[in-house]
Amino acid sequence: MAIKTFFKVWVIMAKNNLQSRLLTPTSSMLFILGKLFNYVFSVLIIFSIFNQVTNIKDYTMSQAVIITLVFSLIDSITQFLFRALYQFRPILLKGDFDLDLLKPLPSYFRPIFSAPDFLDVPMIILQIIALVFFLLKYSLIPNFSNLMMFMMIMANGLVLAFSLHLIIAAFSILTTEIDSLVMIYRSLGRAAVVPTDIYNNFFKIVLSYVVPITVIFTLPAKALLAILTISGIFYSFVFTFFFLFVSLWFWSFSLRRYTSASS
Amino acid sequence: MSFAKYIRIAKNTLQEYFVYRVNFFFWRLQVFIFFVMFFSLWSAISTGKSNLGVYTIPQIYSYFVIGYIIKALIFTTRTQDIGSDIQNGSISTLFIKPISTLKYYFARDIIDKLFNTFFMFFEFILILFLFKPSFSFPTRENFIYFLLFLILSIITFFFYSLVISFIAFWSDDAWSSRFLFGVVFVTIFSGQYIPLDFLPTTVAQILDYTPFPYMFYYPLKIWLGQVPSNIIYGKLFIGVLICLFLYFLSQLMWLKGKQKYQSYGN
Repeated sequence: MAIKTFFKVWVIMAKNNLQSRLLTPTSSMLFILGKLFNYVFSVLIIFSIFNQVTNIKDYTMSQAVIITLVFSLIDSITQFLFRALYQFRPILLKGDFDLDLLKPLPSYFRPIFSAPDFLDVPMIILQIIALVFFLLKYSLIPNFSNLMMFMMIMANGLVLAFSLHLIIAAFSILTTEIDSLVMIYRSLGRAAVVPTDIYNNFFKIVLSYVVPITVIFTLPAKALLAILTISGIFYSFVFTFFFLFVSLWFWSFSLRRYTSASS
Repeated sequence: MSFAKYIRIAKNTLQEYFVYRVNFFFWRLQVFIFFVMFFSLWSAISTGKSNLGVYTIPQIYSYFVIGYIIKALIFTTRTQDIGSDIQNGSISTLFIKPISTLKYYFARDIIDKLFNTFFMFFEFILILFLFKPSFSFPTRENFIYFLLFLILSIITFFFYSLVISFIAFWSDDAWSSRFLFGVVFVTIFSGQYIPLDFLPTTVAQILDYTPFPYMFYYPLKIWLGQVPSNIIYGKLFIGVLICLFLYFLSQLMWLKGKQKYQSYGN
């Protein structure tokens, strides 16, 4: 019942957000163009690299392309779902967050879920089409069980992405700094444009265990390519559970220290 | 006397950084992470190979490490503040002060570059310590051309960034044009992700007619000694023309923009 209510509120907020985007069509178009250029060039860079080499570590070009496409798709979905975090700092500084805490919603609803970014929707559609196209082109169509595994690991990755966003939001309550933290997350996330196991040991450890970008982006792609091991599946769920627990604990820890910044 | 005003502005800008220390630390950290990511990626790609395209492995490492240094000099800027200052009307207070608005932003820009370069120096030492990259060094002649191109790149990017910011006089959102032209185009087309000669020839040729390769790619190619001296003069000439074009465009937009500018509220 509660989830139904949250979803209802989310839909209302999403509609409001969409309306505000439609009020500024030129700037919305520029944003979409920027995302499109980023996407096209990410794929072009992979092709350009494979013009020089035949494989990167154990990955062939077709696998690397699919991993890049899955990365871009999941990145757009997380941007769509959790964009509100980017607008949280002014809310904190003005003291408006007090008003949200009075509402019968989870305290993290406003900073994480309140502003889904509809400018990512055209990209998500395009990315799904491109992913299907390249899976067909490279004859890498997954069977039903691999497809289900991909969906499950991707959903699990989205829960982990939520946890990382919540940790950033909690940190911002303590420090009021958020923009650069989000940028750090984005920079680390961008590392998953290629399979994260190609990196050297130290960076691989950071991406796998400290900020487990691997779980969010690389493991779903591996599931789709049917190269995900049982230990990978286990690692994916254990880390998501651990980070979800830590993020919720850290969020309530931060909330206890929250002092209204405004009057 | 008039110069002293801008020294004061620069000092005030510096003090702002010390107010938001954590923010600055995280900013530098994300720039560093971005470098580590690309260095690690190219390191993985070059494993077991003696060269990639026209680049030897030390040249590829130099491209990204020297690129990291010149990024702090070229692309750090405070001119992005102009867009939001136009949008929220706070630029009005600058108009009524006895200072040149553009010199005000230039003073802030200079201190931003110096401050970032100062921290970049320590990060560079950390890079040498952590990655021990093999380097390719330029000849004395190429080093002089590199410095010339670097100065040109800094000035070109300053005027380019001004042009993007002045779009805010005519648009409803300053950040969208900055995102497309100032972030996406600059990072992709200037060669920060990949040396441009790795891209398909047609794409690289088209990009040659834009300002972007002159901001990052060509200074590095000159460092690596991959631009013959007879072509360097041509590239410098085109770079100067692009810089002049952006200068005049920024001046025109500034004049027209001020005529259109309206400030509301209190």
